[in-house]
Amino acid sequence: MLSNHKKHILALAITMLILAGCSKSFLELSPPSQVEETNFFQTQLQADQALAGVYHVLQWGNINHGHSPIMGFMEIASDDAYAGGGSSSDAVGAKGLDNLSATDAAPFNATDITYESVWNIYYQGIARANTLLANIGRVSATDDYKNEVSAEAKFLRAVFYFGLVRWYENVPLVTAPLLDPDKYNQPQAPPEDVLNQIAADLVDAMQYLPKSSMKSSNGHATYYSAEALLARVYLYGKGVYGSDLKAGDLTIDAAKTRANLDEIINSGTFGLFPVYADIWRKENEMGIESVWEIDCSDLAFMSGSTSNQYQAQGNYNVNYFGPRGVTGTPYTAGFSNAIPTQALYEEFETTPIVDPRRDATILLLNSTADAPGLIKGWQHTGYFNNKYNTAAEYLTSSGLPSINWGQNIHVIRFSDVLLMASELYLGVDQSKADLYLNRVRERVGLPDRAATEDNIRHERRVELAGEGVRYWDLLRYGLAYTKQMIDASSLVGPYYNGGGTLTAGANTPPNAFIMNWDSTKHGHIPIPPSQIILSNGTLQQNPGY
Amino acid sequence: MTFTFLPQSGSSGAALHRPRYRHQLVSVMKLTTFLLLVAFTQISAKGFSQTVTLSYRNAPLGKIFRDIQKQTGYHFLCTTEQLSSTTKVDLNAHDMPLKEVLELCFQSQPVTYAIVNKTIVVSERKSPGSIPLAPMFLPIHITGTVTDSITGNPLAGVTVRVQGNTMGALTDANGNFNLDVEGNAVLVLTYLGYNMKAIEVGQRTVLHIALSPSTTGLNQIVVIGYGTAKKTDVTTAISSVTDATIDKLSITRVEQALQGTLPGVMVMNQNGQPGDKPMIRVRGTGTNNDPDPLYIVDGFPVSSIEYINPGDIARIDVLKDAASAAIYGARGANGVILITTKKGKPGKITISYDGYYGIQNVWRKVPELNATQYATMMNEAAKNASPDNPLPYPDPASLGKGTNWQDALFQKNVPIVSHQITASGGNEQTTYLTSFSYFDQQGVIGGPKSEFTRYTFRLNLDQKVFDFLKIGTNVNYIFSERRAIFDNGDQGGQALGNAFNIDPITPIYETDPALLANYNPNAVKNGDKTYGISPLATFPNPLAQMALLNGNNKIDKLIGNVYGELTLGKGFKFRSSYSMDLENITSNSLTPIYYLLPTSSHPYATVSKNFSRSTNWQTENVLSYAHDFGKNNIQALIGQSAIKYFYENLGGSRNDPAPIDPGLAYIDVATDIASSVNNGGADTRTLASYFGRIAYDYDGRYLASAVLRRDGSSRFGRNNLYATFPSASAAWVISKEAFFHPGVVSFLKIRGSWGQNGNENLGSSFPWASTINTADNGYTFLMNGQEYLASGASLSAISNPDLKWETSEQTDFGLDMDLWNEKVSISADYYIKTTKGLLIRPSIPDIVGYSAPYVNGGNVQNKGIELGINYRGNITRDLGINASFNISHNVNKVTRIDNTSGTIAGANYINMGSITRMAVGEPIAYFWGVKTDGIFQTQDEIDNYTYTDPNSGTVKKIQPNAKPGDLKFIDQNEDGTINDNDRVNLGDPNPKLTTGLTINLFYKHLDLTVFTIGMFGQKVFNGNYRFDKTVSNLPSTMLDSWSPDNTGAKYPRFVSNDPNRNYSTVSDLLLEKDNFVRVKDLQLGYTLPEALTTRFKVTSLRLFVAVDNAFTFTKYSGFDPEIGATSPLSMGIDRGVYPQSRTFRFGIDLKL
Repeated sequence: MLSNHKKHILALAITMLILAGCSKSFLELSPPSQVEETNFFQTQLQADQALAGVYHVLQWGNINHGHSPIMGFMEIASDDAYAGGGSSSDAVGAKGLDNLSATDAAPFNATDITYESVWNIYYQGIARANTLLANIGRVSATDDYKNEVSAEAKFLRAVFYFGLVRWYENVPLVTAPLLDPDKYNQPQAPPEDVLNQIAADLVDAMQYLPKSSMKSSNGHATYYSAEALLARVYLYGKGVYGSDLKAGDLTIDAAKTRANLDEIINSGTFGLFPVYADIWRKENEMGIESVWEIDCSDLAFMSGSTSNQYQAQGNYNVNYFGPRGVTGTPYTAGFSNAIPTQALYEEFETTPIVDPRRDATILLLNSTADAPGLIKGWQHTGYFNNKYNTAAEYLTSSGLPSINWGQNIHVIRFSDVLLMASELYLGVDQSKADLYLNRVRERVGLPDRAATEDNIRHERRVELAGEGVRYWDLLRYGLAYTKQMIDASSLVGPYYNGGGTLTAGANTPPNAFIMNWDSTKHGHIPIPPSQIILSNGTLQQNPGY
Repeated sequence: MTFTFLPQSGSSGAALHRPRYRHQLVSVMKLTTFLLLVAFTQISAKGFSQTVTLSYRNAPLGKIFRDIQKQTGYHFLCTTEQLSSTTKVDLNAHDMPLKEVLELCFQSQPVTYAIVNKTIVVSERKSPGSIPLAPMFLPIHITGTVTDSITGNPLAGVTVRVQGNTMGALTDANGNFNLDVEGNAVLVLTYLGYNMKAIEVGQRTVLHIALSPSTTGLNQIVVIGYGTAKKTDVTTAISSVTDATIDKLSITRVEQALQGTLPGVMVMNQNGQPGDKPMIRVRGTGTNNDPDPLYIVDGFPVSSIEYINPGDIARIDVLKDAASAAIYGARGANGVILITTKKGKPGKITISYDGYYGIQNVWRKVPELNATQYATMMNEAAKNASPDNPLPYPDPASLGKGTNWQDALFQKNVPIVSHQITASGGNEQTTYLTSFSYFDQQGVIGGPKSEFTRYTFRLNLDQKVFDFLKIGTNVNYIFSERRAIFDNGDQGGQALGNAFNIDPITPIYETDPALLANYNPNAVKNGDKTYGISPLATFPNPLAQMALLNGNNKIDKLIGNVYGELTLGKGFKFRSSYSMDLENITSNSLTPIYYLLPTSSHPYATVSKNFSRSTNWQTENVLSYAHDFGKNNIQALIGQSAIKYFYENLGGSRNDPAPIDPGLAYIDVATDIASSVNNGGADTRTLASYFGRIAYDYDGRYLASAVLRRDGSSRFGRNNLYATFPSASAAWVISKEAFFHPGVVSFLKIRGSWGQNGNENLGSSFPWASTINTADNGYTFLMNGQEYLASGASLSAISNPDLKWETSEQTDFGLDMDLWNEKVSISADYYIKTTKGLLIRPSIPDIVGYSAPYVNGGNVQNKGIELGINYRGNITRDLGINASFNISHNVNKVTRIDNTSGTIAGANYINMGSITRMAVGEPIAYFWGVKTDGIFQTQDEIDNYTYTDPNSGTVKKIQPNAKPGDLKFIDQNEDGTINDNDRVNLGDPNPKLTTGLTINLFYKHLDLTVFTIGMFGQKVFNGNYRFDKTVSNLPSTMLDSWSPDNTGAKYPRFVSNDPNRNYSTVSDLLLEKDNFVRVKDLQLGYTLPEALTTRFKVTSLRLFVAVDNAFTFTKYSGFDPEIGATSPLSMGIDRGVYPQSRTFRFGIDLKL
């Protein structure tokens, strides 16, 4: 028998016992199926994962629904391709790349998510590289391993910054993780500083990257990838800003770049495929011509929609370039964007033979007889990119095709190295310049030519067409030249879907082909207005916008 | 136990619930054991006997009565005063008739007894000397029935007492009672939740008495969290709605019971899709996180209430101010919604069936252009862009009317069905309620492809084990299935959006063999017919899209809780409960092989299945104390609770190059083994809380209450696991003061409260942590020349170990008033609610490269007034009316944002970027855009709209690309260009006023309910029409676009390349006023006369017809003015919202 008094004490005691029973560990939980940052960067496996995470950004063509196949954008911006797409209002951001301004046929919208996506992709890549570089010291591994991982991270950071500085020119230079809220806001750096940082990263990376082919390095960046990219950076910087690069104390000038390119050419690691069109065949990926190639695959078997592309391993440019509406084989329907221009078509030599690169570069499809189901999209010229197209050999058997195209992105080919070298030997060693130029021409059976500025420009255009190279070449040749060439691409060809014979559809008025490039923009796209607002005035909009 | 202790004569019926009787009850019992868990000894009483076997030495009468009742089922009716005067008894009875035992018990006691209808009524023995000299009245035997005045349902357990006497009876399950009274007696009827009623018997012997529910009344009990309180004693802002209202509305979802019924609670449907969750806001939007209130069902916090069968709900109480919600501390910031389910009542079993069948139709279609009009407009757009442009449709008239896609998509007379069977009853030891319900609704879009089905099973059981120990359990199993989930997403992918935007020229089915020959072989078919594909290749055929839908979601949910409640004496009570919420979700989907558009095709079939299981358990221990010291009344409690949530999931998918039968869509059926994908993960979180409350009142006149709660949550940074939330409130019942002379005003109370609550409701369980994301993050390297997928990793976000609670601080002043003797009751509140340390992920510059961390980075203020008025009265004997009206006004303002720009970008709309945002000084999620100043009529107007550079003096046109017919945008910052810097507040998506009006009319056997809601002052962004796509079909209103012949047009000129950016600029052109009044429910019921129903042994039978969403009055031109949103920053954006359907229902409410 308990008295009331005792009962109360007992109840209180029980309550207190239960209260005390809840220890702190009840609340201090960790995510059950994820690793916390603080427990990461400890093993070599984790460092490998972090590195693959940086490489992964190279495969992104679509984040946040802003379709951003960046190589496709580079093509559209040039005189080699129009925006294309389904209609005047489809992918307006991409349409803005044609002239960097509104036209009679299409509006221009600086707030379009396209311009923010490009910014976003590159800065995410940079943040991943910076995080890896900042934490590699914590990993239990040999110094050799850490050095090589760091070298790859720096190479990739250089890749991303080179993309940024070319598209936007005036970008903040971030080389360490921005974790402190007070440092989120960073001013834009002069483009020369960004180019110098890229050079420094590449020079650093070259110390530890293997001197091997892409294939022997298992698809990782190599010494030669960095060396060739450095040459490309040098040429861009020299052409646009007239200055050499400073990689720390080391000056990267024309002589140094010539020596670097010679090193690649003479390494014995690289060569040219005998048949030009074979470069883009699946069996030749990471082949002898690849100096820097981004591996894409359908191995993740991603389903979902195009907005899941960034999760997949696919090359979104392929879907972007693909002919619209086609069915069956050999092509799968794509978005018919980045439509090759008549001007490009006509750039190819036709005597004494038709340059075989023309048909390897441009696919002519003009009716449903050419490809069942073909829909003539906006700015239809009858031409499609034939290097990266929705061809059967790359069609995924198991994922959504549009986001799983497994075709690699050939960023720097050996022929580009030869042509860069040829260009740098102009006026220095003409025989070497001729030799390098004609190695490229001989492969496709064209007669030799003397290396001149014009001949090299022509050769680069036809050799590298459809690969995202041309626009940056134009910018380094000068704004006036760029405007002249882009405006000249207003040429309306025989297959355009317009005139008086329109049927209901994505018909295109002739004025959609009128290129009137706005050189006040200096060839750059707008700093995303949302980012300017967020920076509260720290970021300045680019000239002309 | 079975004693019903009557209050002393003259005290009010409400005193029945005063704790003082409770402790007296306890004091007559001997507590012999102390058990926490006891098996059910007696769930239902076995056959009662008329004889008794007992043996006592020196036993108190109370104990004997208890045992007698156990054996016989007879109830005793007495007061503790009566018992306390009795002497102890020796008794030895074996199979002795009850009457003889009672004679023995009452021998030489100061009390005597009478048996009335299985109730033994104890009364004072009148000493011979006190026999009054007044004339003796002959006792008469009366019988009576007590019913609910509104529903007509019989009321069981009503106390019927003879005034001035301790005689009385309880009504049985059919509401019947028998009583022997003296003539001229006055009966006083009291019943919890109903108005007390006194009735003169006169010479009548059969009485029919209707009690009216005291929804306005002083006796009303409200649930306050860990307890209940009389409405009169409440010092905080709580609104309630009871089953009397809920059952009438025959709603499909619980949340709808709150729509328009309570002041300060805004409910907006997000979607008319079956099974879709409405949005609920209590006193405005206080956060840009999840602003949903906390739901507590029978004391157990649940993540959503969509599983509950509305028919199971007894009452819903909404804790609105900080002081009332403070007892739920950490999670009370957005208000707390307490749901109490129905319980059984002692007495005969009642079985009821409620059901209805209805047909639904879309209440509105939005007129659009037919094929000829469309072609004409497209021609005009091309011509306006450039006179050189060829006409896309040279002969519009030849196209005829074309396809009306809305007619094709919206189905007619789509069924909705509900059945519900409830059985309840019990005896004094055990009460139970068990129910089964079935609900099925198809969608007006998609019919059976968009279907929601729900089965619920419930058992609520309460058992008195001993006088001092009560245990109980609620078990609820729910199975629900949903098909075809659409969202109010950017319309591109949605069937309704596509029906709105696809050109009217494309046929539903293509019949032209020449065109069909060119069709993709994967084009979608319906039998032999092939769905038409728009050659414009922008919008898919919405019917083809519907034909592809195969997915479903199946949810099994089991919610159970058990409790034990120990009465310890001296006003102490200890309650311990354990609850578990288990949910298994299986999602199936089959994406067939299809080709809808060049940009939308799927060349193989994909089968996928996802399975998830989540458990949520809670233990809770509360020690409470209640005691009255004369006029000083104290109630206090302390308690503890712990909650743990665990979730895990597993999913997989596989493809097949060949079509798969939707009926056999299992992963094993798909043959492409290489395509197999799997995934799985887990999540967990915990919450540990301690809380205390003390309430004091003096004479029910001066009332005060204080709450302190301390919560620890795993969701917060290691540096800030715990937080403390205090609150205090006080009230003064002026009408109880001596100086107060009741006249028109019969009750008057003023109250005030202050308190702090927390919010931890974030999407993530680990918002403070930065985790490593390894999903879909790898890269393909080579190994031996072959590609392989290397696993990749990156930080998911930036961590913030200092992350802590979001705190909402609220001050409330309120007034409760009854007029004309409770005929009218008024409740009004004014509040200021400030949310501090808003848990936000403020947009951070993209250069950081990672998702922003959650930070405590802003303040939001809500201020508002609420008014609720109820009227209840009879106009004539046959005609009664109840009406309740409420109106709320809320003003929302963001007062601080801690980032560089002082803004947070809101929801995006197609390619326009953010169209809403948060900014200091503006309402949360206001529409942010450029103001327009009409349409330029002439080139002169454009040329004169200039800007002069103050430095250089150069003059330039502000809108150089404009032509006559284009919009004139206001250059707000006067810098000569129209851009984002000119964007201002164009309107608030949150209503300024929300109102609700319910009118119930009763005339004899007829009842009529009219339930209306209204919302005013909010704007909506009409994004149905895809103005970013030049080939979209247009709403007919766009025919009124500017042309030289139509200069007074509402819309600017229609031009395909839109050089002036009329439609790609976020401007007030795209916003509409969204004021609306909607008659949500119109219901006419007929209750069959009792005389008729009793013949069929039916207690009551009511038939009704109802129309839901009967009338909607709005100027908004979209499908539906009710546009909620899951995210506070997406409020008011109409992206092709699935409209509410207008439903005609016929139903039956039957009670046996």
